[in-house]
Amino acid sequence: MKAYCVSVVVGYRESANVFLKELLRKKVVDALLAPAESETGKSVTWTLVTEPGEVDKLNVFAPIIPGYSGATLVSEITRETPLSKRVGVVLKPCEIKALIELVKFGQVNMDNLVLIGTDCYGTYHVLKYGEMVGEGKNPTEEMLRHYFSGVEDENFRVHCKLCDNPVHEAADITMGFIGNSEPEKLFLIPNTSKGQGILGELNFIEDNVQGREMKIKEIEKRRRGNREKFISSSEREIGDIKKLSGILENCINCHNCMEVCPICFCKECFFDSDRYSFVMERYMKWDADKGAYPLPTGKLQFHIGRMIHMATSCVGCGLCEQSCPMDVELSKILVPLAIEAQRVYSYKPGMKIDEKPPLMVIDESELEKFIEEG
Amino acid sequence: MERGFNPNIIGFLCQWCAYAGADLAGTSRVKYPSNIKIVRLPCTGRVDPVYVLRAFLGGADGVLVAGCHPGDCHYKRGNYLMSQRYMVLQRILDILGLGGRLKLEWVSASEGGKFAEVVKGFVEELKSLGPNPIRELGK
Repeated sequence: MKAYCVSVVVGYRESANVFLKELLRKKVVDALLAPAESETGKSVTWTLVTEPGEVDKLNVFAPIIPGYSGATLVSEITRETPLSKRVGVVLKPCEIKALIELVKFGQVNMDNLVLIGTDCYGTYHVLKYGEMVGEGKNPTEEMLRHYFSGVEDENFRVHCKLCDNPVHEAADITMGFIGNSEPEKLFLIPNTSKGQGILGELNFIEDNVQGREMKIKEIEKRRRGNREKFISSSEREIGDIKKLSGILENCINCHNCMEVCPICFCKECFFDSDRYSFVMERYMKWDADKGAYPLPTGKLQFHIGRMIHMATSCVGCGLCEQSCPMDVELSKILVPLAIEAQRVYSYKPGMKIDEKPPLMVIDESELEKFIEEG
Repeated sequence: MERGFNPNIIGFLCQWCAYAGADLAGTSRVKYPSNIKIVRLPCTGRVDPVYVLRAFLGGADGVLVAGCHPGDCHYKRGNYLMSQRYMVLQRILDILGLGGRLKLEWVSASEGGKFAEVVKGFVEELKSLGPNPIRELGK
């Protein structure tokens, strides 16, 4: 595979910044939107950078999604009016998947957007990340150490341990470490003609990436195995209504899981309405049938309803679970529902822009087949 | 099977076909079980999966969605959209332990007899499935 590379002298973060600085300096992009280290160093914050001198603050390989998917952010800034200046946005594979789903739903305008993807071996819960920094550890080094020794980090978020997309090839340029046998080079891989054009203009060393495909396949295979195991154990649990409602018992109805979901974009939501508040007489009537009626109502309805709405497009970023203040294990319900729903139409969300979601688009030939078969 | 168990069915019927079919069954005095409570909708394409879920969580033992035959939809593709959703919803209900409780049928305005047969058949199927496990919650 033809690519370019930056040698790693200090670390991947610094090498990535060499490349990003060059993008701004050569005016390839007017601005960069990327995660930068927060004030305390215990998290990262989405930051818009226009000055090459400020690029050093960026920390794009930090194994963390700061509670807010980059896809949501890009949607917010491009939905109403397309970008007038060229902006490079640095995203992890799951954020690119979410972005692609949003493009399909008409929620992102890709004009003037340069997608820069990073390889991702897994991320930590935001709070875990902060805790690790507090203990004097470097989470990025921890993640890379696990990658180079070829083992899973037990501390990764559940969704990361089940994710089979350590890279995403829809980005114009991918900044990657996968394929190295030791922290030696940062690969700059052009995936599109736009990416090829950009990298062709810059003076980075040309390189042949070897062993990357194999390594990616290896990670995919292991993660898919993890996922099958996870699904079969969760399905046993959620098939029992009592256990299912047990998983959700500590839910406080804050709807954070819905707010942070990058795919969930409606401006008005059924679940934000007061559809599930009733007058006392109604409750008393229902209670009369049973002798006891749990309140408030609508908790199961909210979670399962939300999941059914999201299922075919869920990219598995796990922000819903990360944002839960009560540590509800939403993955146990959402992962099996989403994966199984996607299997019905052999649809994998977030991979290609021209691949339409099965429940959204009407394929005329499919419609004719439907009519003929009756 | 619970003795004397009489399933509760919620029917989401399209106003142009299945609802008119149910009406015809009534006016032609075709008998069908009174287990079904009908909600009239403009089209099966209006059925949000959340409605179906709401019926189950409210304790319904079965949900019947019925509308125009393929090709007869007054909005051209509403029934097609429902059949797409149905495939996904069916799989999800299976996982949640509610398999076999959702039915999608095409009934035209002239098929009063078919409507009665569909309801009868569904009641029998639900009798052998037993009550909705959600009714056990909170007991």
